[in-house]
Amino acid sequence: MIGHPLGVFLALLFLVVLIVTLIWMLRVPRPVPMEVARAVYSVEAARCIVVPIVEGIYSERAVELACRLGERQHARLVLVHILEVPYTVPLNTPLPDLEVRGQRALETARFIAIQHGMKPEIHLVRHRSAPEGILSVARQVGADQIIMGIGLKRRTSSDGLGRTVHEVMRRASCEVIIAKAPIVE
Amino acid sequence: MAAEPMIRREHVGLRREVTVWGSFTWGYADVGADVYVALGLVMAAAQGATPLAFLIAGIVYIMVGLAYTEMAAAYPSAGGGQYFVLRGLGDFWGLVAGSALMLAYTVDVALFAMASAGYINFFFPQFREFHIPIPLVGSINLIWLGETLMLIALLVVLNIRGIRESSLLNQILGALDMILETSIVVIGFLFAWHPEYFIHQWQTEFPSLDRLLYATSLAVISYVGLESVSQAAEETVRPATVIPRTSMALIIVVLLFALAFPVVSLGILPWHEVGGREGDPVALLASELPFVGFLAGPAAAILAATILLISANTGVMGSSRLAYSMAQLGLMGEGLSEVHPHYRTPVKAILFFSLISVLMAVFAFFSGRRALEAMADLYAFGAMLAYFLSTIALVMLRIREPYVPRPYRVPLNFRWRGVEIPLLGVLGIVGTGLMLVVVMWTHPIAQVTGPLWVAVWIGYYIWYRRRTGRPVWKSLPRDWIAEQVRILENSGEWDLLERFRIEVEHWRRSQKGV
Repeated sequence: MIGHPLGVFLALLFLVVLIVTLIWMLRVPRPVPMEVARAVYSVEAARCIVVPIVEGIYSERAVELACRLGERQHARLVLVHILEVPYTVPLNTPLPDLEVRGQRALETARFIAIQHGMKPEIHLVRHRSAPEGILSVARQVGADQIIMGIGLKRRTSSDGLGRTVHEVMRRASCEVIIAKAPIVE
Repeated sequence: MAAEPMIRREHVGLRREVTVWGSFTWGYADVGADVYVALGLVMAAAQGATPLAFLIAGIVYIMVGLAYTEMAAAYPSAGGGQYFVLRGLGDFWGLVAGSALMLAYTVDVALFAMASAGYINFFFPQFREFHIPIPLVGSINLIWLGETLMLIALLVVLNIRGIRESSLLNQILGALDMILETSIVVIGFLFAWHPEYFIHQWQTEFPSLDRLLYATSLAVISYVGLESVSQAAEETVRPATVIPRTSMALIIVVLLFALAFPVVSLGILPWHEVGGREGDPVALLASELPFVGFLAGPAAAILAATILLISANTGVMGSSRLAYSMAQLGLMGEGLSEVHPHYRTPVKAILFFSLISVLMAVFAFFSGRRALEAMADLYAFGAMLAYFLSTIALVMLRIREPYVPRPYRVPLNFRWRGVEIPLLGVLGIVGTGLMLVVVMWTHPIAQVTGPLWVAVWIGYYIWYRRRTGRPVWKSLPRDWIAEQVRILENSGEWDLLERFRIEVEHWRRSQKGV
């Protein structure tokens, strides 16, 4: 004959907790092969990501990509806008229009990063050469990755990547990821 | 003819064949067996408040268990608690932890062999009641002592001949034991449990604070043995994945049984009946169940005797493994860890530590107190000291080795100087520290014998380190990063290995200020 209702409740509670615990324990996740682990963690190895910023959707997509790549491992995100100063004028020559546009681009990029819960570092750097400026910042911050967003308005006979991208890819000591948006025909 | 020379034990990689169920039952055969011993002892002291004593000890156990889970998953090495303490706090404290665990293991052999014999005597009431009065000591059950010594001798012979604990046997017995214990609890709650009787005992038989504290420190022994899961790390398949799961499951399952048994018992039987049956309390409870009592009592006695003997065997194996590990880490000479050329087992270590277990068993019977209680005193001291140091090691390893990936992290962390400090780990230090104080305060045997045991080990350590020209208070130089890579490569935990490499690289760069 069944005993007290509290006893029945305790017996059932005991059984449920025991069975749920054992089922959880026995459901071991699948093992990760060595090659897979290397591939996965080579991406996760990036702890400092530099994103060169210019005005336009391509840079903003690059920031979004950088955030997604760096979010999991709480990577340091460095957003850099290079204010390219011509050799014909001194480096500290006021360029108010360009500075405002650069700041605006950086602010948009920062907003994207904040949406992901990241706290980006903002650099507006005056330099004679954009690729040299990017590489210089990357060296200073110990970048693991540089992510550059580019876009082409039309198909070209050459690769169409431009001088900055070529220079950065050729000379960077860290990984460089080029995010090329599709051409809209 | 001269005796065959002993040879050094070669480092041979252990075969990884312990699965998730094997790892669980390995631990369960050790921890799960504790309640068979603790129930009677704790109930004799805590009376109507026995569940409270188990609950307080259980809270400390959860904190220790979580600490072990994190460390065993991050460092899947066979060293266990002593290895974690040495890595986190240095050689000297590693030695102290090793000596505490060695005490727990040698007591484990005596205590569980004694308890196994107690359950065998369920079938021989005349043996259970046999007492001979001895002047100055009191009445001694010499038959029980004789049975205990015979069981220890049996374990020594089996271990010397290299008949190792079978993982398959453990799995089967572990499963059978869990089914039986579950049946006792469920049938007890369903058909025989009276809440009003439980409440009546709680209200009218509540012990004094002193007795409750004493009972709590005894209840601690029902949670000892989680160590065995991390000790088997080098034989476990994917230890960093499997061990956190088995450890967490063990914490829950053992806690569940440790709380359920006293609650069921107090709703069925008067506390003094269970407390009076020092040797076989669970068999008594099982035999009182309606419908199945006639069968459950003997079944519980047989299964308890078997699983307690396996638990005693983990003590024999554990002490020789620990001696080997301590010798490898330069904490003691290699003499005891030498392997016999014929049997290929560490005969000296087995004989030496089993002899100590025999002396402890004899001492327990002649101590003028209940034999099991005397052993439980020392067991609680050894385990609590080791757990206290292990929880400190958890926090220190977070500070010293922040780059080691931890597949499981103790929850509730706060940041301190850039390091994640586990709040439950800190509470674990306080809890185990307080429990150690309670053990020292309330256990007269542990007050003297425990510190004396540790002091003898420290004395030996100082002598050994001076003799070999090694620093006494400083640690030997070790390349922990290379050691970690070796451990992770051997365990086949590739994702953890990759994470470790990345974290080390970043840590090095941050140290250089890059």
